[in-house]
Amino acid sequence: MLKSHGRRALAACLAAVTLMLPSTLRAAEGDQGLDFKYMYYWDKNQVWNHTPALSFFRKLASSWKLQYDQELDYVSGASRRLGLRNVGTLGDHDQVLDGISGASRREIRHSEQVTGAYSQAGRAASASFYFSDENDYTSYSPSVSGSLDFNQRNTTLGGSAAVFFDNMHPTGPFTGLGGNRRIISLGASLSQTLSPLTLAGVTLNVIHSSGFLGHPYTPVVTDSGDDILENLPDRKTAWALSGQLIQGFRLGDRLGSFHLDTRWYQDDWKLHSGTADLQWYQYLREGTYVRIRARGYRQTAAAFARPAYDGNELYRTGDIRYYAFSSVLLGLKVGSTFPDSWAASAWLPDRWDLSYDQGIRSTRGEENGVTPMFHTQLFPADEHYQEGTFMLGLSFDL
Amino acid sequence: MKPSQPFSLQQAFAWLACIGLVSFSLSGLSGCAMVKQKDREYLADPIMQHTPDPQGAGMEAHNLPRREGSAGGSAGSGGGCGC
Repeated sequence: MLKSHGRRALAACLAAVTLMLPSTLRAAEGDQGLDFKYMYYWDKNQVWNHTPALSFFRKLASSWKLQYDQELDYVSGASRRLGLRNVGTLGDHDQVLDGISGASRREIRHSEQVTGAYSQAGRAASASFYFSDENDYTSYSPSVSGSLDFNQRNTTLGGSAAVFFDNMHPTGPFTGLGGNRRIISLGASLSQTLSPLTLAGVTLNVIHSSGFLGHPYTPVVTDSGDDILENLPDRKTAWALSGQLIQGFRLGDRLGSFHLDTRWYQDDWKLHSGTADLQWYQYLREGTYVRIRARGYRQTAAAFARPAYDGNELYRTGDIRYYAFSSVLLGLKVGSTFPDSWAASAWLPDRWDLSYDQGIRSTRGEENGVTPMFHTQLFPADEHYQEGTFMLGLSFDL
Repeated sequence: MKPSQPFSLQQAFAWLACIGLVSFSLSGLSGCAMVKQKDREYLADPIMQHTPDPQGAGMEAHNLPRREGSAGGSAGSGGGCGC
C-alpha cells in the first residue's frame, strides 16, 4: 500500500525525470546516458518482486557529473516468511495487511538517489543523498566518497562514509512497535594494478548500527509454544573485509577475464559469514560478451539464536537472518550492442544485457547447539529453498 | 547468552586508520609492478572493471541479502529492514 506522501514523492520524481528527458536528448553525445533495468525475483513459495529502475547521468562540465537513480519495488510477500503458500488466499484478498506480519502482502516501495561527482587528474569525490519509502519503513542517507590515484595511476586509495536515518513504523496489529535506527557505515579501499591484465583490490567496511534494530514481524516461539516478541540488542558493530582479484586473458583474439570476489564478515553479535563469488566474462565477438557466475555464501548463527526460548532471555529472535545457513548461486549473463544504425536515434537503446541467477539456500543442521527455528519464516519443507532473479538492462547513450 | 560488548566508533576509526597506513605501505612496494599508460588498453575494457555493471550490482546488493536472509553477504547496510 502506498501512502499519500509516498505517492507525492514518487510523482515528483517521475515528473523530474520526464522533464529532464527532452533536454537531455539535445545534448552532445557522450555527455549523458540513461540505463534502464528491470528485475524480476521469484521464490518457491510464490513470493515475487518486480523492480524497474533507471539511472540517468549528465556531465555538467568536464570534471563534474550529476546522477539520478530511481528504483520501484512491487512486491508480493515482503519477504520469504510471507510466502503466499503459508499465509492463505491468493488473488484479490492478498492486498490487505497480513495478520501474521503486519506488512501488506502487495505493496509498492520506492527509492531515489541524487549524486554529484567530481573527477579530475586522478582525484575523485562524490556526495549523494538517498531516500526510500515503504509501507512501514522510511530511510534517509547522506553519503560521501573520495579516491586518489598515484604511482602513475596504478594505485588507488579510496574512502567512503554514509549515515542512514531509518524509521520503522509498523501498521495494522503491530502499530506502535517500531522505532528509529541509525546506521553509520565507513569504508576504506585500496586498488592496485599488478600487470596490464591484472588488478587487485581490498576493502574494509565498518558498520555501526544503533536504535531499534529488529522488527515485530517474526515472533519468537517459547518452550511452551507461545509466541512472544523478538528482542534484539540496540547496538551492533560489524566488520567486513573484501578482496578482489581480476585477471584478464586472451582466448584466441577475444578478451576474457576472471573476477574473484571474497568477503569475510563478522559482528559483535557473534555472527560470522564468508562469501566467494567467481565470475568469468568472455567476449564472443566485438561488443558481445557472456558471463558465467558461481557464488557461495555461508554464515553462523548469532550468539543469542535458539531453536526455542523460555521467555526470560535478555535477547531472543525468530529471524532467519540470525541463524546458520549456506547458499549457492549460479548465474548466466549475456550482453551486446544494438546495430550501429540505431545510434543515430537517441530514442533507441545502444546496448542490452540479460541475466538469470538461480539460488539454493540450505538451512544447516545443528551448529554449536543451535538448530534453526522452523516457524513463521522457515518450514521444514523449506530446508532447501530455491529462488531466482531475472534481470534485463537497456542502455542509451544520449 | 549476551552478545559481546559493542565496538566503539573510536575503535572503528582506529581500524580504518590502520588499513590506510597498511595501504600506503603496500602502495610504496608496488613500484616494481608499474603499468605504463600505453599498456592499459585492456584495463580500460568494461569487463576488466571492478564493477562492470554498477546499476545491476546495486540492485542485487539491495535485493539478494534480504531475500536470502544473509546478514553479512553485502555491503548494503541501510535503506530498508528487509522484512
